[in-house]
Amino acid sequence: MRNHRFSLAIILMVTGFIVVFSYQYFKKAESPKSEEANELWTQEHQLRTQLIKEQETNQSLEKKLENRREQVQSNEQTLANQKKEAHDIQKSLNNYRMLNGLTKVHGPGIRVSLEDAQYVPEEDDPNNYIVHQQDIQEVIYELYAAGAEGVSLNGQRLSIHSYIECVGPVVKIDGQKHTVPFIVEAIGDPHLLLSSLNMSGGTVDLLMNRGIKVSTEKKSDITLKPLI
Amino acid sequence: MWLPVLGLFIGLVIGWFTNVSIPEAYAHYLSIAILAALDTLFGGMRAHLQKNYDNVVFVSGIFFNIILAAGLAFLGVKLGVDLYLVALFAFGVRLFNNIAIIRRLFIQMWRERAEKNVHKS
Repeated sequence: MRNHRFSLAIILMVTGFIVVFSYQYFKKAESPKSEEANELWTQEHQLRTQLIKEQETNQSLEKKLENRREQVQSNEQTLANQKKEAHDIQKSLNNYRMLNGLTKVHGPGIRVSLEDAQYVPEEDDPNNYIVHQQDIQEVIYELYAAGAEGVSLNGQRLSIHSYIECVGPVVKIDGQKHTVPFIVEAIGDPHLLLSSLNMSGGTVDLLMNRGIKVSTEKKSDITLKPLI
Repeated sequence: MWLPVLGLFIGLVIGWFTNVSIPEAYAHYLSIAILAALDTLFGGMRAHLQKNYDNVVFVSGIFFNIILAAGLAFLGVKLGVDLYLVALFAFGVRLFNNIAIIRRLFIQMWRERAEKNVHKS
């Protein structure tokens, strides 16, 4: 009986050894696998998160791009407006320069010449029969009022700062002396300028009444020198 | 009665603290060894109950069976045929047979005892 027990003990020992050994072996073999799977899962999760993040970044960048594009467009619009403004300013500047006599201009217009009366009655004051500074001024103002864009007297360009003085027998314009005949040239609509001068009871009529020789003619092309 | 329990315990402890890693190709041998050991155990149990127990047969059975199964598996690996399945199958069938016989013997014993009790009363 003792013998039986001993051999049973040995067999049980061997069986226990093998069972536990294989149990441990398979546990060991399996654990790295599960670890690997876990690692893979973690990696996948990480990649997925990264992907989502990238997509979000993309989205926000796209939005930014859109904003930037809109900004560029509005900037371009502003620039175009500014350019247009600058162009307009340039245009009006040129216009003003022209009106101020700073540029050489040419175009259709009229020419008016004023001369003293040839005949002065004995009993009258001869002062009434000669061309005065205010007569010239009258003509020039009339021309300006009728829309003259440029006026010159005896070839001297006039500007808004110009002044006309009466100095004895001569007339001084901006310090330059001029004598009869006074030739006024104006650029503008010839018909308009002429008719405004020839209005009945107008400038020319008044001058003619005093015997002053006034001759007017239309010119298809008048060139005015710039003011120096 | 304590000797077999001690043997089992010692086996468990040795198995637990043996830290030998074997290649995966030999995993089949382990399963065969387990089956051989269990088969031998239940075979011995059955023989004991049938009263034809032989100590030499019992002890030699386990080692011989393990060696035979391992040899078969080895041959299978070398030939590229899953011969370890043969050993697995044989052990499995024998295991079920043995357990079935043990069950019947127990049932028989239980009935005999019941009858004796009836006769007594």
